[in-house]
Amino acid sequence: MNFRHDFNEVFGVEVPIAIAVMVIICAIVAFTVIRYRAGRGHEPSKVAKHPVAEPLYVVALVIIALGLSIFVAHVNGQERSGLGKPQLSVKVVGFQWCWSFHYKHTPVTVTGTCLTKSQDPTLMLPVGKNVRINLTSNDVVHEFWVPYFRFKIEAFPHHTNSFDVKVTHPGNWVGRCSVFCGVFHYRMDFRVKAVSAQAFDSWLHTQRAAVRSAA
Amino acid sequence: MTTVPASVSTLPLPRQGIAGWLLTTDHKRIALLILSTALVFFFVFGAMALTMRSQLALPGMSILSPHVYSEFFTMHGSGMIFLAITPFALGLGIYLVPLQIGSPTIAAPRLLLFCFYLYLFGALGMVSGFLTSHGAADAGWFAYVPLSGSEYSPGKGMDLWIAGTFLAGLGQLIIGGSILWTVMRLRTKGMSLMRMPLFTWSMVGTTLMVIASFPALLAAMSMLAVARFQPGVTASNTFNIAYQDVFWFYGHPVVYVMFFPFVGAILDVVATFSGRRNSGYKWTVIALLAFSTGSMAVWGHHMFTTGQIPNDYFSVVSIFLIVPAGLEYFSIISTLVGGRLVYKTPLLFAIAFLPQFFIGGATGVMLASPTLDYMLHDSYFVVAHFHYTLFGGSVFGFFAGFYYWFPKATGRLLDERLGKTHFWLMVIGTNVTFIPMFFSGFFGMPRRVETYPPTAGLTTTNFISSIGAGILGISMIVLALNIAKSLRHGERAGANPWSAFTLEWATSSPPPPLNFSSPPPYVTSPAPLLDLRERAQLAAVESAGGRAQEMVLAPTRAGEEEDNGE
Repeated sequence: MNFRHDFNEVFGVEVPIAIAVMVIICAIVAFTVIRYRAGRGHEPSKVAKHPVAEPLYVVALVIIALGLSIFVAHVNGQERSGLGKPQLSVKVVGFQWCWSFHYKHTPVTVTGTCLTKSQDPTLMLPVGKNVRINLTSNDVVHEFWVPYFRFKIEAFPHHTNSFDVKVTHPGNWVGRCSVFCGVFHYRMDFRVKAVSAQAFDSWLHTQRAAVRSAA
Repeated sequence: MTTVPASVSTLPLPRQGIAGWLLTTDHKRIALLILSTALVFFFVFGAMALTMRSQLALPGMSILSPHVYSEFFTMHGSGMIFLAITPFALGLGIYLVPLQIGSPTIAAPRLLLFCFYLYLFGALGMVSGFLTSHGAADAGWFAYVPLSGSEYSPGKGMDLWIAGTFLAGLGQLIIGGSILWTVMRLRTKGMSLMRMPLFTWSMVGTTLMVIASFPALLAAMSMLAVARFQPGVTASNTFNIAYQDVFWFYGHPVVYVMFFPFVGAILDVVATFSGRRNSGYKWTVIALLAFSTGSMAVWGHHMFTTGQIPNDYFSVVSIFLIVPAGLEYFSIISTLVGGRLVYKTPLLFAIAFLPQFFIGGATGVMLASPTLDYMLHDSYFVVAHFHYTLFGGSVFGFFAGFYYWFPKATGRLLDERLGKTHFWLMVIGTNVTFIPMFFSGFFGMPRRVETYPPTAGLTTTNFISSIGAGILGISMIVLALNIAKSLRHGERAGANPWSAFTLEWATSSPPPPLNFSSPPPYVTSPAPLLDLRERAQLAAVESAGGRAQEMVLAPTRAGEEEDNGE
């Protein structure tokens, strides 16, 4: 779950900072609204410059921005470096309005119609292996999103986007198209099912046999 | 810095009646034409949003067919951006900039009137798609190719949308030029750049971005036109990704075009209702200019998930925008702190802007972090994020300005009781609608889905959002009632109902055709009317002490020295 890990790392830093600053802003505004209301009968301040506080504040903002951007770029680099040599490659193709999953070096292609839940195609993945996904589209721009993975990437026609994924435990998750691709965009769901390496091999074997017997 | 162009005195007398409006060269009338047209579109496209929210209230509902739903969200998004909020932003500038800088006119008024018609007919073109057999455009507001090409979107609605967007965008580009020209060339005596009100400075930033980025919108629409005549071009990935780049080169700066003027309005409003000068004027100006510069360099953060953009660069530059944004917050808050706060409706909208826009900004930093964007992009989290910036931020800023300047434009105050009702309903509605959307997105709801299955775990958050949308709908009815009532029966405003400091308040409400019946006072600071008041007070005190003559002059000189120091 490489993407999930990186997502949590950044989320765990940025959300607490955001909440803390939000609390500070609300506290200052609430204090000001009560303390400086006209009803108290004071005169407004005539000070319009803070020659020391303002430059200091700019410096503080720059330091925060610098720290945050270095941290974000670092995690981004860690994610982009990938997982090394893939043990399995799957070509994923989006089309109006469903998906197909082709397992490289095999005749196996899984697809469906996505018209109802039962016809959603399933992307089978082996637990613990580095899987390279090569993503493309047959018609318009789609987007491959598995919320549980904390990851999505666009599928372009005439272009392939690749990414690596390593599932650490068995599971069954929903996947969706997340960029608008026409009237049935909302129905373009698929499933991702992770099973043990042995179960995956036997599944692939069965699929292969099924393709051969059909041919 | 010049005063009155010689040609002004030879202008023909204003026409009467309806022609007096439709053929006007008075910047105030042109602005009111634009603002009222935009307000109508704001209600129309808002009603579309309410219809969509009704459909999403419960899983599996179908009030609209999938096709019509696509048309609705396309027209809601593109309509609000091209035809409502951008025109609000530029319309405020057209009305106020000449008044704030003490000019009797705006630069190129006939061209500006032409721009109103470009906008109006562009807008009518876009919405007239609903009358065609295939319906209106239905490819989303950013209309990615190949989806928006003729192969996948065959209807005439898409063609009308492209042509309409081009016309409206062209009009807005020229409006930007006219406002910037006005600021640069038509300032009154004493009005140096560093003595301009902050709203006018925000319009400088806005118009610079308009001039730099709106040509990219025209280019993007031209690319779409090519893709519709020659669908073969979308067989090239280069064309498809270039379209995204060109579109977002416009699409990001326009976000700030729809934000700056309302920050400017808020900066003026907080100064007026705090009874003091804007705190940190110089840094605010620097922040506005840095912000507009930076806005041109961050478009790629809309494209992290394309896999075809340098994510690190766009992420770092986007995160650095917290520096100018933080400075603007400092300016607004430090003006409030120590002020003498009078809670009229404009100030309430300005105060609510602070936490609400912060939610939009903080989630913006999250979306500028690629590892988070990979999860949140194109989901309802993004929908929540940009509605917090555009609605919780910009529209609140717009209403702060609307309640503040309505008496200037109409001569009558809006009703305070209805105004406060409108405000509170809008605060509640905004947060009830958009907070749950962050969770919908996090739970896996993509943008632009016409429904969702009952098993997806999205029912609760969507139901709450739809209730909030209903509250927003009611708040807009209150606003409409307030406008209708106050236009006829509102309290007479007088020249300066709020004891404000800038030159638009130094003339009658509404101002005469050439803005100032007597020349505006010599400008000694960004708050010229406050200077006059302080000088008068000093003079009164000192004349009682018998040293009047000396002291009347002294503060003037002191003021000038201080400004040169800025």
